[in-house]
Amino acid sequence: MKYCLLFCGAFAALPALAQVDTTQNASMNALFGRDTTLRPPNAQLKLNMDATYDRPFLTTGKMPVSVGGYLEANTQYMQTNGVTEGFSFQMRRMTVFLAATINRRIKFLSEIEFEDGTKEINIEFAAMDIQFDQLFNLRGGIIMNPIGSFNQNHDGPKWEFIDRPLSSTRIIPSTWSNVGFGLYGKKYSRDWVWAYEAYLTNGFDDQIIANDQNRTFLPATKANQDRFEESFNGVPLITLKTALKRRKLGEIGLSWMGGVYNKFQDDGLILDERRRVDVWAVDFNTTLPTRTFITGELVWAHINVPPSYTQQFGRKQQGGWIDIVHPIRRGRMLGWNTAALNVALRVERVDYNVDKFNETGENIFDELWSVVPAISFRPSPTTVIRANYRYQWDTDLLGNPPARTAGFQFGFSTYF
Amino acid sequence: MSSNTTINRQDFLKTCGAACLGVVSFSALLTSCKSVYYAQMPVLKGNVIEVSRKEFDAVSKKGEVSIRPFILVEMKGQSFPIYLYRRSDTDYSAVLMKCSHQGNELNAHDGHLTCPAHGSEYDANGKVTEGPAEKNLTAYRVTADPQTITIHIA
Ligand code: FES
Repeated sequence: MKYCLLFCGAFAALPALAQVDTTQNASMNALFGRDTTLRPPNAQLKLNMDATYDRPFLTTGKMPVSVGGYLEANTQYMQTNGVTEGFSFQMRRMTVFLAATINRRIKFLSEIEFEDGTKEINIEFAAMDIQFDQLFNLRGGIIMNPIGSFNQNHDGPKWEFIDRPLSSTRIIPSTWSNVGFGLYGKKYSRDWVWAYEAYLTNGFDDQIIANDQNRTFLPATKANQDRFEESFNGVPLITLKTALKRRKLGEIGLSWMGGVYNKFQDDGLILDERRRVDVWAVDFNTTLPTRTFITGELVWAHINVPPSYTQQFGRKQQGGWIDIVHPIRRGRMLGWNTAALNVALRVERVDYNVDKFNETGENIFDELWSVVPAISFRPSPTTVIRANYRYQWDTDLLGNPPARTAGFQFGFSTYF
Repeated sequence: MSSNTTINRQDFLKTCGAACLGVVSFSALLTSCKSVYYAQMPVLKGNVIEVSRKEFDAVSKKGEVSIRPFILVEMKGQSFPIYLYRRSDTDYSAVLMKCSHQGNELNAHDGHLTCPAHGSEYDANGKVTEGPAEKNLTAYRVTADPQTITIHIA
């Protein structure tokens, strides 16, 4: 009987013991998750065909590959001068983010983007980062050129607006990424953060003027898929950015990207002078005491267009946008604990051609203005459901009365 | 397409000069780097990791001792390093360097952690100071005696 009781007791104690173990293991496992070896140690007989599964990340049982991404989709109904194309649903993009720490201070980061369904598939970003110092990180691979703020900060869920800012997609060709390498670093003090980035990459080609837009249009260069393979003219594009941030106050960034876009020589034969494209940008953001968030970007582009091109092709372009986002309610809403309801406004402008006509001295228009009021609801900071109303004036070269576009957009974007 | 461009002597010299300068300044930068310091001998004892207090002392070539503001602790097999921050001689904080947004490993700075993936930032206690991350980092209780700093994992 005594043994019987003891036995029962032991049994009763077992689950308790096990429980202690699992709770302790949970945090231990979180910390030592890498050690779960996928192959049992005795299965060491390797064949050549095992090689695919024998990559370092599987054999050492590392599990530190982070996977994520974001998705955005919307509906829209737009009218231009009273004519509409009707109602459409748009699957703007889905991106997949993959990252891994390869070794101490060596990281791999990547982002693959599927745009408009699968019409465009791009490696937006695939780089290796080596940290030598907090101020001195080496980055190489396909990198996003640090021009302005939007290009690197383009993730859909971060914005209250469905469309990307026009000057950041039509002057700065966001998302603009290229193969290359460079350095970046950050310096922290109590209230200040200073950061810099400097890269050499492949760059633009002559499609920025030889395109079907009939104007100078930097994004047209993205059609050149070879830019990931070789430089169009052998001259690297330089991109430099520096930013200064004061905690709780705001941030200001200054960036420049410049290079030669034409093929000025071929097989040692000089074909043309070196024609440059230079883009400057200023970006800023601040949060007012009312918790209103203001962010914006201004951009200027100078393009050395050959004289054989008409004045229609802009030698100077400029544009900018400003977003004002004001939270009208924050906190618990509809069962979400950290929800927010915002009203927002974007004002934006693109001037494709800043010059005046030589003959008449009159302004070359070719520009647009747009105003986008918005309401957004965020069940959590990483998901946004947003409704936009867009009003846009497009003025042609000669300054005829603008084409007016207006319409509603409704959509969502979320990290996953 | 193969291109056999001829370059003249001046161009060649210019390129070489630039390359040399690049290499020289690069190596100068490398040697002057104070890279992030990983604790040399952390010890795992049951559910705690012990780190010697000495690990915070940075000894320069001339023998001058300065104190590191933070060190990283990484045991064999550990999924992410732990950021061990020194607030004072007796007060330390420890957080796991795994971004709460999508799990990327963070970069360590003095008093701050940043994520190179989407730009989240945290303070030394693991509190989010910049999104898109929503949740704070996993933080561990830390105790210290005159010789050792103990990170309580479970
Ligand atoms: S994984 Fe760190 S910010 Fe997204």
